[in-house]
Amino acid sequence: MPVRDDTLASLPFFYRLSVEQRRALAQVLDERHLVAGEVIFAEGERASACAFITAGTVHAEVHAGPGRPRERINSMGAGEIFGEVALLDGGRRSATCVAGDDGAVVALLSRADFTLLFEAGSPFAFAMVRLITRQLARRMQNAANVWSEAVRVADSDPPKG
Amino acid sequence: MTSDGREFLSRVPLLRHLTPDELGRLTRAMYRRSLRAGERLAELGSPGTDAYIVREGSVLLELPLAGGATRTVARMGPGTVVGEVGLVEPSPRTLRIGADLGAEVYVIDGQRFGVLCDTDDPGAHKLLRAIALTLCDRLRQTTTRLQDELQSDDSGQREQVAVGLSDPIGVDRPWDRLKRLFGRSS
Repeated sequence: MPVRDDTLASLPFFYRLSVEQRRALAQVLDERHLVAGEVIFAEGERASACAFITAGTVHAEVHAGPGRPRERINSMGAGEIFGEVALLDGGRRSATCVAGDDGAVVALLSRADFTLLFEAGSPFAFAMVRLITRQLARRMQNAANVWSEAVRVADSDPPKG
Repeated sequence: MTSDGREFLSRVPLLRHLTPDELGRLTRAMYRRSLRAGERLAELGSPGTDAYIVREGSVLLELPLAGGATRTVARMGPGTVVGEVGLVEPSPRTLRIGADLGAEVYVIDGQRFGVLCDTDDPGAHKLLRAIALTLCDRLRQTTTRLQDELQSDDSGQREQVAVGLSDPIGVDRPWDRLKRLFGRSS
């Protein structure tokens, strides 16, 4: 189901788009209404779309080992995006995303549609690339800092024996 | 930029999707710099806004350790790109960057690159997309290693990693912080 233009207009990420750009985007987004606990993306599956939350809450959870419940690692609300790395890289999902207690409404953007928008020079697609790259850079920065600390700890406290 | 320089840059993997016109505009955000043996491009913790494409020689990525020791993390040769995280998200350098036995690099000026991005330049965004894919690979590898650790019963190993990784917020344990860092790379 296409997304209503006024729904997109209410989300911060789409403020910069012209009315024409927003309407064109609304036509390629696929709106899904989810009941509580319904899985949107499953950990390990091949990723082919990202999702914008237009209402409700979505939880990200990861497998925590055989016989153990999934661990919740993040919760997101209206206006937030998840699974966006899939727009650039069709790898496997690293988390399961499920609708919260009151359900959720999400708008899915496929990688194929995103690629067409990018190649056509869409300002929205460019803005998405900037957003995704910045998010990845922050995660990489954090990972590098944690790794550096671990190396320093190991260096100052070498294994005994 | 000489035609020889443009020819070299067109063969750099991170720039291979750019058209000649797009590459031409991007080169206006670059300049060439020569480095003597051991000369530094960036110190650990210094503000990072530029990226470097190695033209000749090699560039070392190093982590300074206690007591003046250094761990060499990588030696980057011609055609590789270094410091690209700073280009995307200005931030303190997480490693020291310097020449090994002398090097020639192209500096991508972060400020001028930012202007290209702000004007929706297609070539700048193709480079950003290529950088993002590189970061995806690196983060996915790290996530896999982290999840292996989470599913491991070797709690002693977890504690060893956790020692010294104090959380600035002080709310949760360092291992929980690690999980948060990698949790949303879906």
